[in-house]
Amino acid sequence: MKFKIVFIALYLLGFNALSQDQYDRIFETANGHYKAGEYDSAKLAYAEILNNGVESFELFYNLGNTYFKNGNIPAAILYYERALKLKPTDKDVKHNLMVVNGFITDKIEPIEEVILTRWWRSSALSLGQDGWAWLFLLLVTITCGGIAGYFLARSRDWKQLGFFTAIISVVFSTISLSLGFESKRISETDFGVVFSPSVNVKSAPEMSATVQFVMHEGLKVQIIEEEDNWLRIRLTDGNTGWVSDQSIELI
Amino acid sequence: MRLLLTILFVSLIYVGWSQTFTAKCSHETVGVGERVKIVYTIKGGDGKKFVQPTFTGFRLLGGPNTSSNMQWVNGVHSSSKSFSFILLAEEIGTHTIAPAKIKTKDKVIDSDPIVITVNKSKQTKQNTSQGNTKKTKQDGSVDLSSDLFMKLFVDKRKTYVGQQITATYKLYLHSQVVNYSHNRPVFNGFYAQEIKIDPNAEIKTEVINGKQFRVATMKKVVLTPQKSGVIEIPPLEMELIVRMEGKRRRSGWGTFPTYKDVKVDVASNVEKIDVSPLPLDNQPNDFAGAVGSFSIKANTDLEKVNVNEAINLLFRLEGKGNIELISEPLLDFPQDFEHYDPKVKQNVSITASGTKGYKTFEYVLIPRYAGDFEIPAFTMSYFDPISATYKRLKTEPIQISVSKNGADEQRGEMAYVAPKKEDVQIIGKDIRYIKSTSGAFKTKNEPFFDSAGFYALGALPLASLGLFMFMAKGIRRRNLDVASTKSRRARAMAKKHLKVAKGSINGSDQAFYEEIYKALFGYLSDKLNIPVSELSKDSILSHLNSKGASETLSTDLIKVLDECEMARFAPMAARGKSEMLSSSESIIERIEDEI
Repeated sequence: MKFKIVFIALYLLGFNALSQDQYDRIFETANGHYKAGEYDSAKLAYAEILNNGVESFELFYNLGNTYFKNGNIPAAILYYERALKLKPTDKDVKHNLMVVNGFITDKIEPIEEVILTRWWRSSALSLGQDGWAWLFLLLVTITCGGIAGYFLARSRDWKQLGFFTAIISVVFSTISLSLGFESKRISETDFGVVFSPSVNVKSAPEMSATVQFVMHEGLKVQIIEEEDNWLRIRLTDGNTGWVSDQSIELI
Repeated sequence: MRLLLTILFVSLIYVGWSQTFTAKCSHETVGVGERVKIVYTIKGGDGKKFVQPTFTGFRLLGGPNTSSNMQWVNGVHSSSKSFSFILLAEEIGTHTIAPAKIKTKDKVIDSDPIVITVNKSKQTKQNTSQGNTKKTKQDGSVDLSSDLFMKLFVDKRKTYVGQQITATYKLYLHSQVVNYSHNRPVFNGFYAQEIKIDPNAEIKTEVINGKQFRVATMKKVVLTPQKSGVIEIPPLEMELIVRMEGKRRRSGWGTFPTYKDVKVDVASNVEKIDVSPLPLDNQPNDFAGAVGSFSIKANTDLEKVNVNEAINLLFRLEGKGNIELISEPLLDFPQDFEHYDPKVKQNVSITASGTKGYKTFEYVLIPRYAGDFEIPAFTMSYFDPISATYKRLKTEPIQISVSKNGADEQRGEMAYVAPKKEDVQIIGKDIRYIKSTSGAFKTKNEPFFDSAGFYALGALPLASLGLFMFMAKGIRRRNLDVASTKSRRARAMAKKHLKVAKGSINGSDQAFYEEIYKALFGYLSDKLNIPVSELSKDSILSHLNSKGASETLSTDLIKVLDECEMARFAPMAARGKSEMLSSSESIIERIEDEI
């Protein structure tokens, strides 16, 4: 037990050895390298922060830019996607992803989503699961307050106010809970970026299986299953198949 | 007379009785694929039920076809009925066709069996007996290979892809042809265009080996090779009915030639064409597959126009070769000219030396702005198979001056839809710049949503609500019972009044007694739950009794109340103020104890 505590303490100490200020300094150095066009050094500096086990949206975004300037398209896409995961509504990262995706070989027509689903998904992403969690808690509290008010208030007006507050906040808390679950589902869906220049997508998780189609580097795929060293992937157009996990980097 | 009739009748019966049932076939030996007719005839009587045999080795094409025949010759009646079948020989060998059966009035008659020999088909036989002329075969067909043959002529045996060749099929014949038909050859690897000819109209005579032949051109095709390599031109196969002269027949009026129609199959030879691919080196960029010899010309009907007036540009391609396969030229019109898809006309004739003619593309151009414009020169390359080189044609550029005719332009501009506004063209796409300020660096943490803490926090307001409600319910219930609350609070209230009275013990008598009175009566009203309006000594006594208070308590209470009342209105100090206070207090204590 004692060992364990010491171990945890060391662990935390080791990974949080640097303070926010120190990270900021490294970050600024890296930005300086980027401005000077020294992309390799910039990359190393950004990576240094990452190696400390911390992450931030800006870090991923800048790393994506650095990789793009270096000509590493799949890595750029990977870091932009990681940045997007932390801040799903950022316009800059979306723009850069669009630009960088113009450099990849595969053009996949995504299946059109119904406008309502798209709207639902984007609202879920707008606050994030923790945002929805806190909103839900707030609304639950308001609901309880409303109920209490309804039962305790002496005058008719206050009773009514309590009643409607409770009703409305119950509705909104249900919505925010479901949006929270949607956001959780989205964030728990695994995606990956193809890193090998050309990948054969097979019909089964074995070398001898039939090749169904070929993907190229930089393509974002959804990972739906894992078996041994194989991943079952799904493209945005709905096609699925198995690929070796060596060829894909998880977002 | 009677005797005669009897004889006649008997003879009729006899005739009726003498029935024969025979079987005949048209050929006893046939080739595979040929037809045989078999006729079963019953004479002298009507067959009731005919049973046909099975024709093994043959295919039944038709039948039974029934025909009846009746005759009266010199008073003798004869009748016959026949059943005929058309069969197609299918298997080689000797086949015996079992007898057919027919049922007459009282018996069943069998015909004779038929034996037919089927051998190989005629054509193969012809090949084995080559060299013999006019040899009459067993089956009656005749070998006429030296009298009747076909030839395929081509104008060249070496060509380029796209260079046309002409194939001609000619029929050489010495005999008279009654009827003919031919197949349609399929020209694989060629684009074939047939030249329409009438074989009867183009008959010439030719002498070959001292023998005069009539030559009929059966088919003429212009072929454009579509691929390189050795390509075969297939033969034309014909089936002819030839009228042959047979033995002369003598008759009373002299000798007559006899004729016989014979069916003959002929096929032409096959030609192999060596098609070379077009040379790849020096192939011009604008080469689009034209092979032959061409000339081009481009001109407009007007050179000076006003704005919004139409100009017709005519592009004309003329020559010999695969002109039909040449597509519309790509002309670069000035930006300010509106142009439409061209109207294509072609006039191509297929001749023995290939296709020739011209093709025109007519463009309508409408200048939208004034100025001097140039319709640039148009180039076209083709392959000349004769010199085996590529040649390039070029038209002259055309100068067009568009003048601004004030009024016209005004009108035109109004009629003309305003030029489309263009979207801002994004010339170079690049990523956006890096973020200069760092955000908060965080360690990857587990999401709060759906965690135990989240649910605990969610349960907290609900639990507190529950607790709160539970407590509120108790308070509420007690509040609802006003009487008991009042009685519970009666003593406190009384004490409050007594305290005030005690405070004003040195003050005016009026105020002091007033407080004492309030304390006592208020207490009793609350405690006994008597409304103030009904409060009197009697009602107090009866309530006390009903609550089970002792008699002494009641009398003592009345005494205290009386004293208090008296003191209020006639302030005489029968007892001291403090005594009054203590007796009031003690009486309240006593009531509290008893009730």
